[in-house]
Amino acid sequence: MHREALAGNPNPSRHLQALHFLGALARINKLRARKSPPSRRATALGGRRITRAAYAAMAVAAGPRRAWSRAILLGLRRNSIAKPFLIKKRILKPHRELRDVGSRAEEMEFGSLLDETLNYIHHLTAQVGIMQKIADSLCK
Amino acid sequence: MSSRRTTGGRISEDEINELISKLQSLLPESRRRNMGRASAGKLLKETCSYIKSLKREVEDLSERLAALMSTMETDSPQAEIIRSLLR
Repeated sequence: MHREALAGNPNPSRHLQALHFLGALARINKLRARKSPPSRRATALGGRRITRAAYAAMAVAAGPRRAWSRAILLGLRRNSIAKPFLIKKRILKPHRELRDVGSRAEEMEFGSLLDETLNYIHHLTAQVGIMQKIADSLCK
Repeated sequence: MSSRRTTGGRISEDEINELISKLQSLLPESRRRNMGRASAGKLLKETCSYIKSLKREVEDLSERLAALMSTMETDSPQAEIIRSLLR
């Protein structure tokens, strides 16, 4: 199904990131459809779920070879067995992923840190683009 | 984006310089002012604020998507688009 689309694609990781994010959105939407009408609290909760889905998509697309994506993927795995109220603290703390990388900065030499940072920015900007396109198409 | 890594772990000074200029070309302010080589400290500071603003954008877009999706009916054409993309 995706293979033909990916074959000639010069940027397969972005494709994977978009597909993973769309899948998560579809799941979130399914959950929401069950509980209607939507309250304001539900929308705020949905926003946080979507943010989590965004970072998950980034981490999956980057793969386990990056320190920052590993931090996210491991955090997500921990959360699946952690209590629900811990989820907000873990994933949504700003710069958590980079801080995890930075706390190992003494061991990680400057060049690797730059490399990780560039890759992180690459996936962040890709994610912003993906979300903007989806929002725009939903507005039409 | 994959950058080739030297085997053995250590990145050479040339590669560090290349990474620094790649980073500088990404940063919006450095691009605008078309600076010559910025100091590493300034570059890192700008990188941090750029990443912060990108993360804020992700959160804002998440809120926007949540609001848009809450008004979306399950059988709207948009839902069908998403479903067809995932098939």
